[in-house]
Amino acid sequence: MAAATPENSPALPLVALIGSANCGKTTLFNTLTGSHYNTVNYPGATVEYAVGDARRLPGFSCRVMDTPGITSLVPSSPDEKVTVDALFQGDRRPDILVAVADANQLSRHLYLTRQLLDLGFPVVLVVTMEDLLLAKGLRVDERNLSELLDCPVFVLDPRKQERLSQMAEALRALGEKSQTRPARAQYEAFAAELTEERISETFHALDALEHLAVKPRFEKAGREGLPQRHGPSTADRILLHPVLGLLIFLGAMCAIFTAIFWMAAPLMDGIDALFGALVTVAKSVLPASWATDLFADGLVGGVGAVLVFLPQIAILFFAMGYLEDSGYLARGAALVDRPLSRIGLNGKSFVPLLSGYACAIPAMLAARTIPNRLERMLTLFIIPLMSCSARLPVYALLLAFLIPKDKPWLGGLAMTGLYLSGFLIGAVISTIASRYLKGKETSGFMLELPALRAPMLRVVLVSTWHKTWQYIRKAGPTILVIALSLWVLTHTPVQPAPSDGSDREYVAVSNSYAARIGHFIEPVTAPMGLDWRGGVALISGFAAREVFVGSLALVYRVQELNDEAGMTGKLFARMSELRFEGDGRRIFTVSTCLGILLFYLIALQCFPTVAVARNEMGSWRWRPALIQLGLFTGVAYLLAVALVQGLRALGVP
Amino acid sequence: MIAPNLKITAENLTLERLRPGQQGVVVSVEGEPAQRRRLLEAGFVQGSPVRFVMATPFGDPLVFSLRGTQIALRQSDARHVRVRV
Repeated sequence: MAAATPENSPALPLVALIGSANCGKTTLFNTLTGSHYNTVNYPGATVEYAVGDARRLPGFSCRVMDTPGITSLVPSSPDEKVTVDALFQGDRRPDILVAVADANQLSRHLYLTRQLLDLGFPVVLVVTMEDLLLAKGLRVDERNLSELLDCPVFVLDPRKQERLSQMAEALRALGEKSQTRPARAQYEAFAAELTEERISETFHALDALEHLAVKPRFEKAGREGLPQRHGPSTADRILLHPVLGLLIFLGAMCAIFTAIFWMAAPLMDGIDALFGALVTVAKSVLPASWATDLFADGLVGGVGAVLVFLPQIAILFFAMGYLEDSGYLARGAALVDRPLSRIGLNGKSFVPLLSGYACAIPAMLAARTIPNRLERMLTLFIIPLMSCSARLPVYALLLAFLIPKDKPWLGGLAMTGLYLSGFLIGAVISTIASRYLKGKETSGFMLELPALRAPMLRVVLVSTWHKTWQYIRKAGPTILVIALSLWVLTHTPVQPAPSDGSDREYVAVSNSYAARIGHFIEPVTAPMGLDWRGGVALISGFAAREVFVGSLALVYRVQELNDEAGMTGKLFARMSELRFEGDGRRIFTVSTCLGILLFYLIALQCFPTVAVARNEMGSWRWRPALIQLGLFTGVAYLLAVALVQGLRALGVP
Repeated sequence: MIAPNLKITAENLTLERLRPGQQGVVVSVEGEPAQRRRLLEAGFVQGSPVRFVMATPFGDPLVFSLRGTQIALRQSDARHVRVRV
């Protein structure tokens, strides 16, 4: 399904955009494709590439692929390896490369272009950000550069639709030459010959080339252009100031998480209420039957469960995209490098950990940018402890249930505490692990700080949409299938209508397969304060955490309450009156709710994450992923039991 | 503390010893092979002018200006780059 796109149009040539991070590659990609693209799984890699038709390129039909940024064809981190592999292996290798280079740092960026040309790739070079160079009183001599490199060169602003027909013409001409692309063996030989002397020589040659190709903008100005201003920019003086810089960083983090809570919560409530209403409508319109219940409660409710946590994910992705496009995210990573290196991580762990608060899966993929293997492993290991969006509905439900309505600040405080605790537990684990595990590679940190600029809203919105959609596509089907199976499990075998006048639904659920499973595991869930029904909800949460809330609603038969409030309101009413069958003690007491919160904070209850962790931890295969699953879930259970029993012993209900 | 060895202070500084705003020219790059290659491919090759721009809030990494861009570099990496002032 996902990988189908390149194969669908085998006749169209594939053009890959190659360049360093921050060179304007993705902006050019958006311009060429008109922001219409798909993400596809490239053969042999789990990473998704953005591929789209070059619909803005007149007169030349091709598909364009965006790739993770690289500085050299010899990769130094897994994300760079992905790009290099795409060039030399797989059955759908790019036919033409568009190398993208920043006009302000030509020697650094042409280093990669030089490698591509030396290997014999058909290359078109696009030079971006000349406006910043012009401001320094310099310009790029396009014709000169083209002659020196012996490849077509276009100096253009990728934010504008400019010179696209010329580019199309150049690409077509290159494509028609039907050049052979270098084979893997050629690359291996090239990589082996890449000595330090070679690197230095290449740079010295590029220095000479830059000297010839970059000229003063005005005749009068000297070779160096306008007098250069040395030292940090005013913005950096503030953003990286020892005190102000820290305050701004903390402020930015607070703003992101506040936005998640304050902006996402009403949207989530809205989606929740909407689907609650849809279920009611479906049931009143359709004839009362088993199939209607399956459709309304199972399917419609299940889709609601998938969509309810989208606002949070979209907001976090948007905020991160905005910060990244502005150039601040790199500064944030540099800023936290020192504290993170103290706990065995790296400044480059910052973005993956922050993404973990949306979803562990893209977060784990983002960890590929960490060159040091041990630091990457530790980052991957603790990512699931960051409270992902799936946990928010569970936290929100239980905190709202626990905390009196007249003290909303307490809820905010508790939520902050939960989010911080996840990171702190991760920090402790990582610190301890890094004391005992010794990596072979020396740790280091090198990251370009791109020029600060106003982000392009459209680019950020498009990438937010794609990341969010990718998430629906990946997590949606799993969650839906589980919600449906759970409904079936709680409603089969079909019970005859009770003759003694007792509640039909109650008879159905308490005699279902789910009930049998729930009763079977009750000895395990009872110490946490949950009866068999809570146990069923807990188990279903293992498919994906947020399913817990929907399952609670289902196993405690919330739907049938004809309350004016949305599903949550009904669930609250139900939760406060629920009692154990038998001794009649209330189920959702303070201690039990706190126990569930603690369990959800730590437990690794997401099978898609386990699969991705296994993949990303590479040659260590299943071991670390399974340790992660067992350790987090086991510790979560033991701590939850200890908390519930401890609180009860202290007299907390 | 300034090292008593005049040769080191005047001729051969390591990168992290530059003062804010001070510029040096790369003389050599040391360290283990992978680390050395990363530094070289970033453009820290012999003869390249490098300027120390500023430190980040926790004092490490340091920000250097090199070949038209700014690069944040941990002190432990910068130590492997020898510069002549």
